[in-house]
Amino acid sequence: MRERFRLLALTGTFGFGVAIGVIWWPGPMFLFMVAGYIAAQFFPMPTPTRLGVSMAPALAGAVALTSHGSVVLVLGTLGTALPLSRLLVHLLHGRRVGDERFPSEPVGIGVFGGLFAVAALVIDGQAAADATTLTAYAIAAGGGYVASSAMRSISSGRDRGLPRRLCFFRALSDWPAHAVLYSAAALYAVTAPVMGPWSLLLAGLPYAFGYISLHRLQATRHTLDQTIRALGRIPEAGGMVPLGHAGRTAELAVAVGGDLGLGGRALDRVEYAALLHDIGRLVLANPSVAAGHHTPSDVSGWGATIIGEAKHLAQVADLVAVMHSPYRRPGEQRDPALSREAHVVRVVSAYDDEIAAGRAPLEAIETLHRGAAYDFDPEVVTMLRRVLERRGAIAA
Amino acid sequence: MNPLERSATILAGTFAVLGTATLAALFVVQDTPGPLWLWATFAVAFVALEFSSVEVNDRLFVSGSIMAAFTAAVAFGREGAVLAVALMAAMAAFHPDDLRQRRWRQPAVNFGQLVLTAVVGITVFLPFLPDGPVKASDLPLLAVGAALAAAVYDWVNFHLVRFIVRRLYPERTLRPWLKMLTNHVALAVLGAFGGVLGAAYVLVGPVILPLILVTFLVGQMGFHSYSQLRTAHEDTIRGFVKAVEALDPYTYGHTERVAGFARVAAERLGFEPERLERLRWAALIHDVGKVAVPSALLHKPDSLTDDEYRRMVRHMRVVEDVLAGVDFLAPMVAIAAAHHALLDGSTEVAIEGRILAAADAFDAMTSTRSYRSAVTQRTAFDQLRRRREIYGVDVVEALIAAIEISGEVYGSPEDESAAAVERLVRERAIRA
Repeated sequence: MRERFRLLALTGTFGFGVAIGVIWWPGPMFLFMVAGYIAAQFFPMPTPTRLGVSMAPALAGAVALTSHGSVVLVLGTLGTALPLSRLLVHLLHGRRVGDERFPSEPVGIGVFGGLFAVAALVIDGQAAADATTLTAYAIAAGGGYVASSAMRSISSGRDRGLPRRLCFFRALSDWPAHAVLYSAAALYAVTAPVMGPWSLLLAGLPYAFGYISLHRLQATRHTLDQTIRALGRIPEAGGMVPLGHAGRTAELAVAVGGDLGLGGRALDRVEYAALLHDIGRLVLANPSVAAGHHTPSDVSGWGATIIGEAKHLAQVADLVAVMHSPYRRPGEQRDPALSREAHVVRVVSAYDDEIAAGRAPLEAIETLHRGAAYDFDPEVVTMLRRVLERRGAIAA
Repeated sequence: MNPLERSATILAGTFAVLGTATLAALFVVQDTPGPLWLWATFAVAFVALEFSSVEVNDRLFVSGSIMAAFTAAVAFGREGAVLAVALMAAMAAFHPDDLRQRRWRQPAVNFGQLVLTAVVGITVFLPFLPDGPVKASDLPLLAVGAALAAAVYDWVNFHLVRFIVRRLYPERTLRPWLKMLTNHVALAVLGAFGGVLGAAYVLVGPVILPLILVTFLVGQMGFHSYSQLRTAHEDTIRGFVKAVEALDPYTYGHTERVAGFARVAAERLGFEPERLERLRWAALIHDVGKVAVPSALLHKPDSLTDDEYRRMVRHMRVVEDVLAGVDFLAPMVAIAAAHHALLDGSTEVAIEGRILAAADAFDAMTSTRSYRSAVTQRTAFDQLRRRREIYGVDVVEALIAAIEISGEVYGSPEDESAAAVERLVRERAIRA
């Protein structure tokens, strides 16, 4: 139903855009810009969050500067091209019409166009290559970027069951792509009147430099994530841990950590620690170790040693090292040295162990509640319960 | 002062004098670059880019300073271009590390080298610069001229570096510096872009500088982060491999040694850097699968039965399948799996798998294990030659020649019986 509504909305916006475009800006330039927007959808700029940003902001920026802030032209080309391109992507690639990029992109560009149009009224008659115009352009581009990040956080928060605040800050981390797109567009618009087609080269090369660097960055980050996930699965492959334990723990731990208000870097640490927290069990492959006495804390210590071999995972190793320490011991206050992040991994891992042992979610969470105050951080257990309720795993 | 120090001092003095004399001559024949703030802006950009080269591909580093050089050349025009760029290059000779460590020879050599390179490169560019103000119609000539001059700039730089390295370290391999040659195209493109950018600056004004700066800063930041993540990724796998090796003290260092043997053999066989890198990774992970092998099998003091061997391979395949799920590692896992397949009797194995298998077998034979001691290097070579049908004659001879040329001797000084060695080679696939 929601998908059908989106298709209807797209078709309606398309008609609106065509009407504006044909009335106000007929001619080959309009068609060229429409074609550009459509092509832009197929060549997204890579971003750290891997969601990508299409080239549409760059085209909107170029249109806005070359048309001296005509909001009609921005809306006309956008109203035509964005819906059409989404429909084409839908038809050619079978992707959902309403993925995370769809609602955020038009809103972001709309805010940018609106802000720049207002600024254009104030600085009427200024050339694109004027410092005042470019300052207004930069402010409008910043507004568009914040608006698109906010829209993206709403849709991704809903789709992934994550807190919106967390999704918003994650979306903001895509700023390099927005900066490259808006800067390249401004470079084109500023130099086109005097340099003609050469301005495309001038804007294209820095764009390509930014594109390649962000593409490599995204690919390497993806590879690192894949590698850590693969390493986390090796104890499972060796039959030392239930299959899928690391992945499930990581996914749930990130959701719980997000609800607890942990920031982006802290959540990355939680995710990696959850993926790798059982890697110390590999030491048990050594028969002399396996035959001797060892505790869960020993396993954590071995795991921390293995993880600590990679310098960039030192903080993750610290988390894993302490994750089997109890929340507090009888007669003692809570150990402040034990981070909230370590407790999140500990609680979620214990929950997944209960599930793997055949318990129902409610039964598993009750077991954790019984251990709360000594073994498990009560606040983390409560937050886990809230996440499970939100996901419908247990009744609210 | 030892001969090397004397040679370095003479070289540093020569380059310092050459650089200074060239600059003095330029002050006579060229206009002093002005305004000062403009020259200072370009100089800061040049020095910053020179000091922060970025890894654009696997260990291929490129500095964008050449772009700043050609932008400045167009901005200062024919009368001041060479002196302006030569002075900018001279500033880049003084790296903070050299000053902190009170090294004077290296900055002196770099000073002469950078000034001479800049002078030759920009002088080649001069005929392409217009007599009067830059016009839009000059752009094609400026772009072509800057690309050509950038290629010359890079060529001169490479040959000066090679000359200096040869003079100072006659015995050192030039391989790391040869990589500079692969940058030619990238630097020609950057040079052309610098020329067009200079024209844009003249035609439009300084307003375009912040726009360029933003895009390049983001790109630079992206490449820097990419480089950091690449190191992090390598650290992660290395750390894990070390942990796996630590399970059996007898195999400690095995993967690094195998990677070393595979590299020298592959270099003799003419592998290009990308294939060498892939082989290195395959060597690093080739034994990771044994973490899933039950310890009773892995540490069994006697030979394995066929059934036990099949069980061991099955366990290893599970881990290989997990690692093959990592896009980056998939080709390396395929090589590692191929080397196991070779030892299982498969004949259709790519050369990378055969190199890895030969390097692995050589290290297994020349290392002491819990269940036997090392054999001599000569015996190991004989065994490799006996199995040349499996590894390939080219691979075996390349490995042996590379080890002999290195002068290193591996293995035990005592010999073992041929039968014992034959058994070890057969079993070594997984137990190494």
